[in-house]
Amino acid sequence: MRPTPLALVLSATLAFLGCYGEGKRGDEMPRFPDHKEIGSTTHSAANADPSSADIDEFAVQAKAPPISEGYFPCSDCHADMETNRERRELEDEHDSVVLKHGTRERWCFDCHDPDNRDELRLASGTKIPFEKSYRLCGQCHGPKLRDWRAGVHGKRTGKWNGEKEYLLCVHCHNPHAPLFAPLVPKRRPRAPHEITFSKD
Amino acid sequence: MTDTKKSRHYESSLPMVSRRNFVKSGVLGGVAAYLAACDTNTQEEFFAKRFTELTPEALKERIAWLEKHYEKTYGEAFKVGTEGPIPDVLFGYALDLSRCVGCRRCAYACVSENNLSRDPQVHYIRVLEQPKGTGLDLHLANPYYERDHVPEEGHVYLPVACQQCENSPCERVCPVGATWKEPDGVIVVDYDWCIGCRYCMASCPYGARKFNWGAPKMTTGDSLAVKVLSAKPKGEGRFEVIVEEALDAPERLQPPHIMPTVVKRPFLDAKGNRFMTETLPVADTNPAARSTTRYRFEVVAKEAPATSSKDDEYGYFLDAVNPDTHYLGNRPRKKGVVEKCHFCLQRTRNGEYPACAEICPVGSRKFGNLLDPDSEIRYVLANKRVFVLKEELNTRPKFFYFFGV
Ligand code: SF4
Ligand code: SF4
Repeated sequence: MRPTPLALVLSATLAFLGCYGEGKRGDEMPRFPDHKEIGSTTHSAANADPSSADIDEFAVQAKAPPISEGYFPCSDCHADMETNRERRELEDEHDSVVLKHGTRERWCFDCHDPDNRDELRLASGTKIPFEKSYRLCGQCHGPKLRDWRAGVHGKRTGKWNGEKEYLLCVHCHNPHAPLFAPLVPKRRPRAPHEITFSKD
Repeated sequence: MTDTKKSRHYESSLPMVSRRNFVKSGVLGGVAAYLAACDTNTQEEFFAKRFTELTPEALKERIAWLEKHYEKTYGEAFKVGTEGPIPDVLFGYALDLSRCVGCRRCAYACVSENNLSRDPQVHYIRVLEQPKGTGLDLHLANPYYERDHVPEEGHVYLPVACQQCENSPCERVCPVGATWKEPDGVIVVDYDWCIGCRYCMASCPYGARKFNWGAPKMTTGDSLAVKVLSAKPKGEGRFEVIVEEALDAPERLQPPHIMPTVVKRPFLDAKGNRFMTETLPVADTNPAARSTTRYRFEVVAKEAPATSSKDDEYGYFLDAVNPDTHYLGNRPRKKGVVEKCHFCLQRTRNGEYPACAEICPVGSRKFGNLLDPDSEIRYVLANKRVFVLKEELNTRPKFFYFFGV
């Protein structure tokens, strides 16, 4: 079999890692004291069941879950309300929520717990707080959750060799309509013939 | 050659070139005579030795001189760091091509962080737009695209900066050894040793090196208009301020180069009172929700910054130099020397992510230690489809492109 270009790239990569990391790879490699704690769990966690392990052990959440101000706790309103399980368009409240996320298959109570609105609910019936919503997303998006947990899907800030901050899926993706909206780009660079400078 | 004693904790593989001895020999007696007539700044710069050859004492003196010189020139207290490479670290970068939307925020974060010249304009990062399905036919790539919104249908984006080649042609062609590879894999330039011959620019297959055709101007006197949404007390005289880019502000208030998120900078509230951002403004990374960016940061102040009560009442971030520098990184350059991306040495040698990785709103930029099997970058190499640019040239870049999906 002819080697594919990808295999070539990978082997080239490994070859150069091999020679530059000589004698320093694997377990003997000295680590930053804080790195071991934080980093060592990432990959083992990543390979395990994507929705079981929690991320809290190796990074900290950067921001609280993005719930519109004045809405939480949901039970403030919902505790006294009767639960209407019928699928319908919301009119009196939450009317800005337009579901563009598995529209035919999904409904409020696939994620929100009908008996306690302050919590979310996995397909298994397990209740989870809003801070752990990634477990909910990971039920369908397993590979994404795995990449996210390794710090590769989504954004990590903080230290590359130490404590990191993570964002929840819902910080970047609106859970009700997860597709990214287009962004306004920053201005284009000047072309060579447009470059000006003040003579000194 | 007593003055070529090694000063750093790793061995330099550079050939010894002693400009001072050359001058002393009298061949350049005329030059020496000319310099004697120059001001002390020119003399200091001319006799500055190459970074790797400075003894610890000489380095200390040099840094003290530079810090004073920069403070005088830019009106801010400067720090010129000399942090060395961290043992057992080889820096690598990976960029997720399936995520990049071509918003160019990385390019401008880099301008702010690294004190790039605004005039004449220098950008380390060029974001190339390319029609989908044309592979890596880079002659179709366009860095000058103008769009109302990105990503543009049917196009992909490829940001390119220095690839930090392990086998770097730029280093090899430099006739004076002004550019070299540090043990953490970053190719650096000694801006005092560069003679401006631009051989390295000719040799670089990625167009990564930039020349200062004029004296770099690090500020424009411009400012970025923002709406000041809120300013809440955080205790101990601190306030958390939330602002939003004012895209409806008049054009002249929106210069292209000010990115507030990566550098501490002066901030004017809606009433024009001046504050310094005490923490780096953190971008709201939810482009899904709105097309402008929100930033939150803290200031130390007696009174809360004023918020915008009317629609056309703005606060401003002022364009400013970044006084937090590294000798081989973002310290101010001068006319006639070459510069390039150095993986934000001033940040990364202190554990921080590079500014471009910190700002990217879609999280497509990954940075870390290639020798650490648990790092994000090694996860990418092990699990994703990865390629390097112009692999056939055997430059062995440490900048990887990958497809995250
Ligand atoms: S900031 Fe991120 S998405 Fe925007 S152009 Fe740079 S790499 Fe691409
Ligand atoms: S990309 Fe260019 S400047 Fe950077 S190391 Fe390679 S040859 Fe040198």
